[in-house]
Amino acid sequence: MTEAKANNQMTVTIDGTTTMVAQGSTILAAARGCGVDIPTLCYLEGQMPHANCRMCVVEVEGKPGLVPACATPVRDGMRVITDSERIRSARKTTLELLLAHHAVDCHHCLRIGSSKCADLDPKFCEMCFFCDCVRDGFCELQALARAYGVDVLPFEERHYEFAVDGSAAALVRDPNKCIECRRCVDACRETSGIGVLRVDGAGDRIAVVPDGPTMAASSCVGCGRCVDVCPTGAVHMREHIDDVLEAAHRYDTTAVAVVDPLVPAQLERLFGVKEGSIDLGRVASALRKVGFSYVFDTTVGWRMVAQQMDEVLRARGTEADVAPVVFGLDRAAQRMLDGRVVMADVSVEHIASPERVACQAARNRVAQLRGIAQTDVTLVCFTVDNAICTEAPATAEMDTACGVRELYRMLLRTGGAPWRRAIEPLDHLDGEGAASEAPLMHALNGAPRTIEQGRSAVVPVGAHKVLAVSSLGQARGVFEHDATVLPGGVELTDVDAVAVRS
Amino acid sequence: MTELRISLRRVGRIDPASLDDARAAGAYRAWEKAQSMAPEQIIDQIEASGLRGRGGAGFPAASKWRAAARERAAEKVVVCNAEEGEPGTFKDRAILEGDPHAVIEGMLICARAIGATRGIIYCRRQYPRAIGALVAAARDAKESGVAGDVDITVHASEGAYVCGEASALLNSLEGLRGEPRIKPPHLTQAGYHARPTVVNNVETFALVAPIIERGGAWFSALGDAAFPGTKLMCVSGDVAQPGVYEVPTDTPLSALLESCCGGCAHDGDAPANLKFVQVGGSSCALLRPDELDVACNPASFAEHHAQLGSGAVRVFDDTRRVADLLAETTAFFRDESCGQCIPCREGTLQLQLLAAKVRAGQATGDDAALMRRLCSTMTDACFCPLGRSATVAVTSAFEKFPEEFPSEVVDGFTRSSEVAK
Repeated sequence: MTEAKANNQMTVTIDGTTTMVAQGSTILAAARGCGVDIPTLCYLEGQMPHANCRMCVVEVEGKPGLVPACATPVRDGMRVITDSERIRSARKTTLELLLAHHAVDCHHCLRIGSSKCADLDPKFCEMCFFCDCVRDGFCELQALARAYGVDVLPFEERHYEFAVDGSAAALVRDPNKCIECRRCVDACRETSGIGVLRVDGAGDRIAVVPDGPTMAASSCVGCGRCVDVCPTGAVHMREHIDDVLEAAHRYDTTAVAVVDPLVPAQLERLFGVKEGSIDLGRVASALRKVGFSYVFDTTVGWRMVAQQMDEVLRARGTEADVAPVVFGLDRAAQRMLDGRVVMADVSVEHIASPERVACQAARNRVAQLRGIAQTDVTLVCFTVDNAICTEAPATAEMDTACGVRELYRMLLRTGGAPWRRAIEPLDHLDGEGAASEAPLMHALNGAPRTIEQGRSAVVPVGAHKVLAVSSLGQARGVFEHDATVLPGGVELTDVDAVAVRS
Repeated sequence: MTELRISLRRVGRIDPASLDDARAAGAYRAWEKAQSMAPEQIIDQIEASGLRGRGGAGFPAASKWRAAARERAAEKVVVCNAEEGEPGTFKDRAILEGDPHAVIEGMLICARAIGATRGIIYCRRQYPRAIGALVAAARDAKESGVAGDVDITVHASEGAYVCGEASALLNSLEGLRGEPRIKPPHLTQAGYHARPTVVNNVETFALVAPIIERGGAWFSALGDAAFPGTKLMCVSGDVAQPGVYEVPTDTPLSALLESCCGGCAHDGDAPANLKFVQVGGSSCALLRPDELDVACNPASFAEHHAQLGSGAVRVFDDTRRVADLLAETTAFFRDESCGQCIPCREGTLQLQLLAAKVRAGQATGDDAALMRRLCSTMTDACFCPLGRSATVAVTSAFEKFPEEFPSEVVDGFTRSSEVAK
């Protein structure tokens, strides 16, 4: 015990299991560390806890009420119970309260009974067709409602009070599904450093609102980070499943898919299949089954972008005292860079995103192969990056961009199970360029899309040193010389360029 | 039974706009004495007095002060909570309007004790006369040099109930949403703009100067041993003489109502039969007429499963209905919930809808059972005391006044709810 305390360790007993945790750990972290699952709705790793959903409430010996595990630090010798009749009742009542004020458009069907959903009997289905929520099947609220057996809502229901804000080209806000967890508010302010969204009103009139009358008239740059963190369908990307499927089946156009190499891993998570069971070849096979004639990947776009950056930097010369060039590598990053003076004497260069470049290359290639006009090609980009979905309507290279969630729903609709398909080779695309795309792509596209800002990284592009910045909040930190964002020992003056992705 | 005026010592006897008047009546004598005392000595005297917060929670004042005094920081802050949003409470207003220097003197002494150079009075905008008096008093104290190097300012708040909670109050002062904070850190470690901060109620600060002047032992000998001194009680409703009364903390409520207030009277006119009393405000329990031997201190109220709270006493005669009070109380909480946590935001809404059903006589046993389960969840799981205590009046009404409701509703409320599987 004395030795433990010397190391700033504390003992905590969770559901009868005693474990050691570092001083300052929360009950939630301690519980997850020893394999005890505590449900959460508003908590997000790397973000300051809000403790407003009250789903993670637990009993602590000696405390009269329940305490939120996400925001309660462990004390030495603390005894915690994470599951009891009292706790389950509180969590279930909270879920019932929430669902009474939530537009339940999903397979959490209150007529048939959600907790029996696993063996949903279609003969009871009344074909109301309300089960069309974009998050059906991977919604955190739905998962909890099933886990806690919320079958009937005892409380008076108030479901559709607000108008859906579909004013923006790609980003849709449905306040009827908002649970006011504030993850999006934090993502917008912290991860992206923009601060479009804020909480307005009080009590049951509370709402998350943009800083303009609509999303289209707000200062939103379209990075889509809010969509990544939303636990429900309150903010989502506009879907085009019908349009895409139609295009894939028409005779007067050739449907071409360009797929981000990170898509398979995210599909695995959505389908709940084990790691490594879906790869690009299986995704290609599934997309061809849906009706796409060609499937390429986006790697060539990154190679060509690296090449363009190399050329710009070589043309600029090699004087040591030249300020770094700032590249905006997607539309959201460009809008953010345009909206502010990043630094004195810094030139900002906009380069089309690697996805756009890859789509253009694919369009050219298919038109050439088939001997058809470029306008006879329908190009759909499947991406892991919401910023690409928001830039698609404003750019000519791609006709549509779909996120992984939309691809998942498209495959569900068409019965495709990509992990069961044979691996097929992708169509080949030649991209000219001597500079290697790998380091840049790895730093920017491979960056985990979590709330955590993390640090930027210095990567080589040709003979140049480029600071790869993988979120707009990180970009803001870099331009404000925030030492917690720059890689250790690196100054902004040390690099030739800064590449910003949202 | 008579009043013992300590916090109200100068109210009504001086011109609140005149510093000279206040000084002639003894204001700032304790402050002068405190300036010759070491900070620890001041806190020792407060500790010896047993002074506990008069805002409702009853936390020992000396513990807060000592915790803040221990912190090392470039700046510390003293905040006076003059939000007074609890329905039926108007005690702080009496002090603020009648003797603003009493509060400022208490804050100055606290500032010296903890090493603060800044004082802020957070006063609700609905008290324009109090704000005017405070602004003038703070200016006079500063310009006459009385306040020394302590800078005291007045903040006119928008008057949200939840901002009576100290951390929500500080958020509001900082320009953020008035929502309670996650603790720890405690406000004495990181309060107003992360500075060590002591937040006390108006009445608490008004009691500080007499304690310093006459010694902690004198104060601790008054009233109840565990909650010594006097308490301001705001009596309103069906009594002959409503108003603010300051009584020792061992005074029975019945004595206060009979001797000071002239007993129960319908709308203050004709004598009437007492039906129930709600002490402490909307967040507190109801009392039956046979429970009025309770004394004006928290421990005595706890014996009756009730709370002293802010000291509001609302008296209801036999023409009033408990169901009406519940409907009104739950509507109040629905309106005042900040919306931060789900059980309070959605729970106060549903509780109000259910209470309206009870008032209209449309509630079933299942509705009552649901109400019970909702009350348990809110008491257990809400973020702050607002949500946790919004259910107290409801629960006590069904427990203490079953004859006021249809039997199936009472049965529904008392049977453990089967819905909660």
